Formats: sequence, structure tokens, C-alpha cells
Amino acid sequence: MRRYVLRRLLLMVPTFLGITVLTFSLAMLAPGDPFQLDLETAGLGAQAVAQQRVQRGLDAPIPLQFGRWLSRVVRFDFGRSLIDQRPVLDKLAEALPRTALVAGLALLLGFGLAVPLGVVLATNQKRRWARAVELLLLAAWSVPSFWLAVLLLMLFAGPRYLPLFPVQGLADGGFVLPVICLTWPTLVIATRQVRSAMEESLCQDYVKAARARGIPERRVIWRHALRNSLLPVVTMFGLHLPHLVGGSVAIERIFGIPGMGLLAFDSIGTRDYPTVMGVATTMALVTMVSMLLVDLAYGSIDPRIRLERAG
Amino acid sequence: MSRLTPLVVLLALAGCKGSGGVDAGSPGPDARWLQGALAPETGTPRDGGTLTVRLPLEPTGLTRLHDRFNEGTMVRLTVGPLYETLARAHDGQLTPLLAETWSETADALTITLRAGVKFHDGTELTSADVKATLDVVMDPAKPTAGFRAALDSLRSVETPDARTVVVRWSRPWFLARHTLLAALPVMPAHALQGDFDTLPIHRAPIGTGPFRFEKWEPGLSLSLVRADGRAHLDRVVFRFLKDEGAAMQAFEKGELGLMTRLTPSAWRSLETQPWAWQRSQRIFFEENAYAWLGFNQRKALFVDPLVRRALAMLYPAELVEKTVDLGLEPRTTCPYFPGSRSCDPSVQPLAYDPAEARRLLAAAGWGDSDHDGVLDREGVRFSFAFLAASQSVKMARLLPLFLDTLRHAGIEARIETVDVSAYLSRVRAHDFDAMALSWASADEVQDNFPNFHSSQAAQGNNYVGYSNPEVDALLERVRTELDADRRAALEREVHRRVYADQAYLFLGRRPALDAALRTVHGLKPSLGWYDLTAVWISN
Repeated sequence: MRRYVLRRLLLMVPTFLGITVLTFSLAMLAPGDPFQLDLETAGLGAQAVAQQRVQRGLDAPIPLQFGRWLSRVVRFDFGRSLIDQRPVLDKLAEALPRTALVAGLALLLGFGLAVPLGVVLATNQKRRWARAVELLLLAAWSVPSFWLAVLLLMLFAGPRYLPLFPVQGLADGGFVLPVICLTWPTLVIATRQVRSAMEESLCQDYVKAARARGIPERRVIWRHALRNSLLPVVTMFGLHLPHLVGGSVAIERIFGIPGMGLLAFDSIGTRDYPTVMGVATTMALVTMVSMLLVDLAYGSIDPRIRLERAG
Repeated sequence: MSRLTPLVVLLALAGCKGSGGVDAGSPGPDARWLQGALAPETGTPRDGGTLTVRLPLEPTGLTRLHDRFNEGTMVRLTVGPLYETLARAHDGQLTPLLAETWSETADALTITLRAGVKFHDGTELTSADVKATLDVVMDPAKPTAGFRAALDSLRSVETPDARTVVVRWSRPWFLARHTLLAALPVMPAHALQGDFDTLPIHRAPIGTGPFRFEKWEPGLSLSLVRADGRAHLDRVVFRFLKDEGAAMQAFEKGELGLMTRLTPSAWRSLETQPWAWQRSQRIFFEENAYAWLGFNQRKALFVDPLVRRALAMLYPAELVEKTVDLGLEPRTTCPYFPGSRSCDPSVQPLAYDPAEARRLLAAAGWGDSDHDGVLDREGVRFSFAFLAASQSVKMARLLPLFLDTLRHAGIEARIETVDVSAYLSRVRAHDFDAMALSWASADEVQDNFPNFHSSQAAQGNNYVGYSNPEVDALLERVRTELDADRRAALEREVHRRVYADQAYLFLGRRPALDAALRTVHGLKPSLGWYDLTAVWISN
């Protein structure tokens, strides 16, 4: 097991390099210039723009720029933003906790509700109310998050109905509405995943055998069937983990949360290469660690996977 | 039925309070409210309170000297009350501010500073601070090219004593004098030491203004507090709310006292809201800003002024004004501030006239020789691409209307949309057929040399490549003319010629569209924004 983890950790190095090379190249090759201002103030002359490019080392060949960037990153120095001149690490440190709080609560809430709901739906699939709930979930799946966000903002933050929450920011319970918006899609898709995995498990021979041995139905469902249904859910959970640092541009914009989504969106739009790379690197690391955690979780859920690795 | 209860309750709630908790049957807004004109002040100002201002964007830094932070409107609004200039410009006149007096000779300006002025950190303002600010601007290694270009004729700065600054010019230039006195924020010398890019003062300003910096929470807000007895307000908080819908909710809720830079549709939408008539006032005021369409005059298609006039006559101005600008952006013909003496009021915009446009195009040699519906000349089809920035909502609405009229006149045009960064890069590289931009200035005094002089077509702001030797000569004379009346006469001639040549297809003047709660008083809009020292809050 230790060797397996070590091997996976070592594999992360070339993967990380590959991701960063690709991201850096795409960012640098995209048309545009970080030294532009907004449309109406394009008055900064071409000479001044060229001078700033030279001062920032952006006139060097891309491989050389990447080498410089990498040599700083290994010392945990992500450089300074080309737009506001602040250290990229400071910007990440401000945005990351906000996004992680909202996305983390949404993830826990979404999967926390999806598992019992999926099990209940799978074990009551022939009941009329269960079908109605499924239909509702299907309808909910088609509701765009940003639309829900606008609706919730109007109903529960605006002055006309129930102004329970602030319009902007996370303080004073401001995180509740964005968490609901982000929970919604996770809840719907995870519930459907759990339900279908459970339906499949409940038809398996080992479940029939457990019932034949007289094990109580509750134990059969929650101990035997559910455990085997969790593999795809764990995969999905792992795939959702990067959302903790990715953020959602629309939700963050509507609720005025300066998180990772807006930081990424704005820095891409302004060609703020150091910030783009800071966000991309953070996401790459979290994604790779998430994948590793998922693989390790597989082993603890399914002994066969552990055996294959041992073999 | 019982399962539908929550939805029914919600809808009932909507029905009950749909007008924002105010009497929806009250009479509608009066003419003054509809025009966005502020009601005359009658109350007595009271001290105290916090004004919360919505900004749609966050400034990237708070030092106007730095090229990256300099021009943004948001920076101007936020640092305006913090920093002061040597003089204040108002109605074409300069009145002393940090300077007590100044005297001029042909090549020098001697400024005497007011005694006893202190920066917010307690240090006293001296001539060394003015010199240090100018030294930073004039250092070619520093990213201060914007101010440096405007002070290009500055030759030397001397400080014979703590209150005297002597500036010598290499040549007369009206803009340099104006920039030095009325635009350059004076900053403390000790805060300008070190790596300019990373100076703490960029994010924590130290000025001499009536408000001092309190704190900046990135992404959320920026606050200033009263520095001395010049202001009524205790605090001004700028909240960064990008989403206009969310900002409107906060405004209606009373969380925001002043909404700035509303879009025309949001400003218009207040007309249908009874709460808005009763609890707020809309504010409309002229800015020195205008939008234009530019045709690349380096390309054979657009070299002939006749063709550019024809294109202007095919521009559906009335339709755009009504459907895109919602009647809020009147058409302009002038590259100077419309209310100033620099514009000739006799110049009228070319009317939409497809028949006359076709006649002009025929006179320029364009006809449909192969009867394919598209004009051609010597085997070249009249076909081009409009470069548009994907973020520009206005262009997304305007260009299809214009392209439609062009198509009917036999001109084949298509829209090429790119993101704003790529857009500006291509504009700077002159890699376009046609494009749109707008110019804005916080000042009435401006120099159009960089925009229209032919020498600026290669590296400067003359992106369209406009060239007219007579206009070049006029712009050169404008620069060296220090007498305001004579300069205005020359600028009116520039206006007439630039419009006759259709250097740009001038669109509309862009006003500032704001709204404030009725509890906010003393708002007096001007080109430099509101004078926050006059603003006060009633209960």
C-alpha cells in the first residue's frame, strides 16, 4: 500500500508538469495582451505597452518564461499579478477559503442528502410518490443554477419578500443561498446515481443470499447493498472535489463572492498570466490529490481492488 | 392540493408585496425625476452618517500615476476625495487648491504651496513632495507613461525652498500646464521610495484630501473616513457589485445610498418601480465621453472621405438611439466635450439617407457591375469585417442594425467577435477593417493630437490611420496656443474638418446614469464626479 501511494505521488510530478506546460502555453499563445486597459481608455500608446512587456519579461521565448515561472513555483512563489501587482499567493489565499467554504458545504450537503434519498427511492421504486420525486429531480436537473440564484436572491435577499440574507458576501448567513444553488445540481445527479446503483445491487445474488439467511431488510440495504453501490458515488465525489477550488463564475458574480471562479475568469480575461497559472496550478494539485484519495477510498470499500493491487 | 402549498404561498407573497412595499397607486414620477435632474436642496446639512456607493468594478490600484491604475473610472471615483491637485479646474478656470499662488513666464511656472497642509499620515506637504511626484512621472523606466506623455514638455523641476516649486518647460504646451496644476495628484515623497510597482501606497493611499483611506477588502469594499472638518459624512464605503440585478436589490433594500454607472436599461427600469419614484432620485449628467465607429483608412475601401460619408448616412441613428441607447445617448459630431467652446454647434450630424449614400458611393466609383447585389470597383467587392469585443453589449445590439442597412445598400459586412484583450491587441496592431471604441476623459480640457494627427497613426492612438495635413497643422497650433479663446477657435475648426472628413463615424455621447436614495443630499455632479465634501445624509 505504501509503495502504491509513493508511486502515485511520484506520478504526480510528470502529470503536474504536463498540465502546467499545457496551461502556460495556451495562456501565452492566446491572442491578447495583459497590458491593455478597458475599451474606452485604450489610449496608452503602443510604445508604453511594449516597454511594459519588456520590463515584465514577456518578450522572452515562451519556454524561457515557463522555466522562470517553474523555478519560482518550486519555491512557492507564484509571482505578482500583472494587473494589480499583488502577490498571486495573496490573491489565492483570499479567494480560496471563500470558494472552499461554499463549495465544501454544497458538496457535503449534496452527497449527504443524496445517499439516503437515493436509497429510499431505490427501495420504494414502485411507489407513486417515489416516481413523483424522481420526476421532480429530473425537472430540477434542468433548472440552471444562475437562474435559481437570481430567484433566491430576489426572494430571500431582496427587500420585497423575505429579506433573510444579505445581497452580497458570505457574512451574516450570506453563504446560505449560494450553498443552496450549488447543492442543487449535485444533489440531483448524485441521488440518481445512488438510486440506480442501489437498484442494481438489490438484484444481486449476495443480497438475495443475505435475505435468505434471514438478515433484517434494513441491514441488507444499508450494510450490504449500499456498500457495493458506493463505488460510483465515490468516483463522482472525487470528481466534484476540484469544485472546492474551481468555484462557479455565475454564482460568485450574482452573490458578490470574490472567490476562485471570478478570480480565474477575470485573470483569463485580462491575460494576467501569473494569476491564471496560480489558479490552474492550485486546481491541478487538488484534482490530482482528489484522484489519489478516490483510488485509496476504492480499496477500503472494495476488498477486490486491494487484492488486485497487492497482486 | 396540500403538496402545492409552498408554491402557492410564495406566489401569494409575490402578489402582496410586488411593488416593494410602497403604495403602487401613487402618482407616477414627475418630469424632473424622469429627466434625472436633482431637486434643489432645501434642508440644512448635518454631519455624520455613511454613504454606501455601488461600483460595478473594483479598481486595480489607487495610484493614478501608475499606468495600470491611472485611467479607470473606478480609480477616479475612489481616489478623488483622497488626493488633491495644486489647483482645481471648474468651468474652464483654475482656482488654487494645494497651491496658494502661481506665476508664469514664457518657459517657467513658479508655484507657491499653501502653508500648513498635512498628509493623512501627519507629514507636512512641501515642495519636495511635488518634485518627488514629478520625478516618478518623468522617469522613463517607470510605468507612468500616461502622465509622462501629458507632461512631455517638462524640462526641469527646482525647489528653491520648502514652499516653492519652479517648473521649466522646453516648449509651450497648454496641456502640460493644465496637467501639472489640475490633474496631477500630489503624493508624499517618502511613500514613493522603493520599487514603484509594489509600493504600499498603491493600495493604501496617503493624500491630503478631505477623506482618508480606511481599509480595502479585495473583492468586497473600500472605505474612506472623514479626515477633517471639510466633509459632512463620517464615512464613504464603495461596494464592488458586478451584478447589476443584485445591486438593484441592495439599492431597493436601502443597503446602497448611491448607484453609479447604471446601464441604460437598468436606469430606465426604475421608471416602472413605484418604490423608486418615492424613495430615490435618478441622476443624469454629461460626461466627456463619446463612442465611435472607426474604419481603417489604411485600407483601400475606406481611404475616400466620400465613402466614409456614405457609411455615416447608412448608419440608422434614430433606430439605434431608440432601441439600443433607449434615448439616453444623444448623437454627437464633436471630438471635444460637447458643452464646451471647443465644439461648433452649427455642425449637424449627417442624416440617415440611403439614397444620398448610394449616390456618394457611385461618385466614388462603386457600382454593382456583376449584378450580384454587392457593390464592386475594379474587381474588388465592397466587403469587410467589423471587429467587435465580445463583452460589448452595445455593439452586439447596434452592429446587426447597421449591417442590415449596409446590406440593403450593397455593402457586405460581417461581425468578427473576439474577447476584449484580443480586440485591443488587434486594434493596436491595426489588424481590422472596422471597429468601435469610445474615448472618455475626466477633464474638459483635452488634446486631440494623439487621436487625429497623422504622426500618431503608426504608434499612437490614431488607430484608424486618419491623415489630413490641414488638420495636422491645426492640431499642432492648438498645442502651442496658451490663450484659451484662441485655442477654442482652433479646436472648433478641428471639429468641423474632422467631421467633414468622417475621421470617425461619431455615435453618441455617453452620460453618467446614477441613482441615489432621497436620504442622500448635496449631490452636485460634475465631470470630476461628485464633490463628496458637500454630501450629507438625512434621517
